[in-house]
Amino acid sequence: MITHLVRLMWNKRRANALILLEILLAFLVLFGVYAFGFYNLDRFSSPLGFSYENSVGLRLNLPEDMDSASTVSMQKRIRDEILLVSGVEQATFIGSINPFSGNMYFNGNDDNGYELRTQGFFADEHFAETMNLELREGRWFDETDVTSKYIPVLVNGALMDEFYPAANSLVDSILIIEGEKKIIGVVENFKYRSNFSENAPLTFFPTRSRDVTKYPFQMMIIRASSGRTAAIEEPIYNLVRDITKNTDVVIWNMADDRIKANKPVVVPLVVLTLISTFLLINIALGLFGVLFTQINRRRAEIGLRKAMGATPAQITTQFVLEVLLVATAALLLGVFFAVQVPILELTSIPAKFFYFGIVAAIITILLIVFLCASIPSRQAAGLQPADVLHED
Amino acid sequence: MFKNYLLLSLKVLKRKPFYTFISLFGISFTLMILMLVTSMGNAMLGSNKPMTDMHRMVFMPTVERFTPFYDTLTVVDSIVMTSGEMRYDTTYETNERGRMVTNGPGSFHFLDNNLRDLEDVESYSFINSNNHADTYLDGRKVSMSTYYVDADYFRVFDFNFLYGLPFGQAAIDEASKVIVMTDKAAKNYFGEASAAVIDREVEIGREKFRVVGIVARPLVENEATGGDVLLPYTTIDNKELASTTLGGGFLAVFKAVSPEKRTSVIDQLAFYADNFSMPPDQDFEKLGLDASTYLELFADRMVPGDSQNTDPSVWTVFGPIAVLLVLFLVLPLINLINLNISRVFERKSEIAVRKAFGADSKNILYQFVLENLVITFIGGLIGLILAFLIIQYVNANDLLGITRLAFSFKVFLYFLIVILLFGLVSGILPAYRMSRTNIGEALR
Repeated sequence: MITHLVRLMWNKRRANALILLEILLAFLVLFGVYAFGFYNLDRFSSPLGFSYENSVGLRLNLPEDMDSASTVSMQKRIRDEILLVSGVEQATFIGSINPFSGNMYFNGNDDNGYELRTQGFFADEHFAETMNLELREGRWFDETDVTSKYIPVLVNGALMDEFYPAANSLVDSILIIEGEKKIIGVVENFKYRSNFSENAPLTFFPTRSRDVTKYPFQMMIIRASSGRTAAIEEPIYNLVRDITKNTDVVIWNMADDRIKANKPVVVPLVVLTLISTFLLINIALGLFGVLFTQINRRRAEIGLRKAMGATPAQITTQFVLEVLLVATAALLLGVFFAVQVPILELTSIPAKFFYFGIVAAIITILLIVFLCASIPSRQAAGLQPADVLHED
Repeated sequence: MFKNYLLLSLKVLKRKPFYTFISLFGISFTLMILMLVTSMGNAMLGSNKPMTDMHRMVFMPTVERFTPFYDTLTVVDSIVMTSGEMRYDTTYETNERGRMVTNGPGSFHFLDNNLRDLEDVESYSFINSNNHADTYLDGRKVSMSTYYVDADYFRVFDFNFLYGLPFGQAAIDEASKVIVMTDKAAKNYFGEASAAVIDREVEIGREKFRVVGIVARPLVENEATGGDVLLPYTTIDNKELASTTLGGGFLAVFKAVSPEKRTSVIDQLAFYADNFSMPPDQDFEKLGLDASTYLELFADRMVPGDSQNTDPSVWTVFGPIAVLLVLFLVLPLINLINLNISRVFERKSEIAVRKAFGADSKNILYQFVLENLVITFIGGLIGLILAFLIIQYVNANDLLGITRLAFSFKVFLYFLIVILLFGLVSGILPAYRMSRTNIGEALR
């Protein structure tokens, strides 16, 4: 039966060429959209690891001509006074990198015996409490770290999983990054750039890892009790402005910043999804129209076959299989092109998402083709031989 | 004649509503997408105010300082044993293995002292676009990005002044507290953007600035034109002007005398950087002045990431977009051609009759191309309305962030061309096939 159908389709190759081309292109578009979508959904599924809902970020400008002691005491004073503002629950100073801002800090070396590459994040001892970090093991920075022999660091779970998959614990290990550092804890999850950023290795550095006079921490994250986020902004603005004697004070809402940080992925994703949906509807309607006219042109053939004893099911199967055959040819061709992307490593996206994309695109297209072919075929199969053969 | 064809094609469209619907759906949607893309492309890369002279501009957003470190590679080319002694022939190769880089806007001091007299430059401006001012008006927060600019800024960028005038050199020299706002910022701050706003006061930090001009907000905001308010650079925090380090908060934009001279400006900057002797108190050894045209800058911004040395060419960015666009275009086109061709047969007898009465193939061809153009124009009209609604919606809600979609006469003209092309391309092949219908066979 199949060989017979193949011959049938081959004989009508000119009429089928356009359908084939259309399915091929549709497959390629779908493949790309699916791969991009799956890749980003996978990233989205790894948690941020911190709370941002009721928090605001703050950037201030400390006076430049201060020594380290007065810088530290001014930071302490600012934090203490902010905590007194009604509605404020916790506050923390951070370094030059802040969540959702697009800022990044990378460092790496091969001194640990492997190629270490890690993001850096600078935070003080109140950060874990403010951001509700979840620790896998160990503890966050505290006052005892100021005088300890080694500068302490924490790492995130991704660093541990990538570089020390076999280790049970990293606490008290020495990690060589900007000199020898002692790991005092592991934070379960922490990715700060956006929901769609990669859950990549990261190291937390404490306040004392940076020269206080040269690079003082000049950003803060302040967590409010729920519903008070907007209300705390103005009093904090005023008090920071008065303490630092500088009007360059910026306060932003972290929840808004998260949405902004996600936009570069969300906007293309939504646009691509909308466009491909409409393309699919368009193709489905077009295919339906074409098949409808093509099958209707074969009424006499259908009548003859029915007169010879073919059941409606047999006729439907024949037409559907005919179209599916063309679709399969197009898909095979499409898969040949599509697998080149992961095989030749054309992008930095992991190969598995392209294979998912291929499978999903094949399923979608077969489903559409099947639907578009079966409705006109069914209708045609219901024709009465007497009516149809009578016309000619 | 033409009128007859028109009536005929409308009748044909009415005869088979289902097919007409399918065709219209495909056409209007595709054209809508095309219009949105045209509109977006025009907003982002078109020569609109304030960047009418975009094709003459050279942007230098950052001043790069770096220290390269080298690796020496020793390769043993050959080993020869001569009289019991091993002899090696080796070559050394010293390659840059990486560099320690810091990159950011330059200081006013550096730009002021070094980049004021480049050749082939008609006008240029140093801009500080790093700042931001929050004000609380009766408990309501108003955020504005503040750009500190010089008087030539308004020569480089031809802002569309709705009310008032730009500030000039005198305001710069006297550090006058004057301000130019976008209409959006004025609406935000005063609740209105009208002539009445001129001469009112805006509080930035703790100081009051007098409004001298209201400009239309640019369609696309980049680091040179994205300011909500523009202030004389001499009113900036004195630290920014006094600092003698290389890094700071200023970027430079140069307007070359002609588009061709842009390379000259870029080359002069690169040459200057190569021959720059870094002051001994700096942490870095070398200077890089990486200037680029607007298109290159745009492409650069489209590829985010921790790019240290990646310098994406314009094509790595626009190439995939173009491929994607072509795919999205070709698909509905093939769909439409496919549909049109399969309908040829339905009208075989009609064509045969016309041919039998003396119409030649050309007449038939024209008729069907025209018929297709009619349906394309109807679809285009629907698409235009849809696109217009979407543009309104997107702009009203600022959905795209830094870009607002443009809708102007120019864009409308592009739309017409797009519709015409689409109609012709999708109509010619089916019409050609129809026109070759054999009378004898069709009338049988």
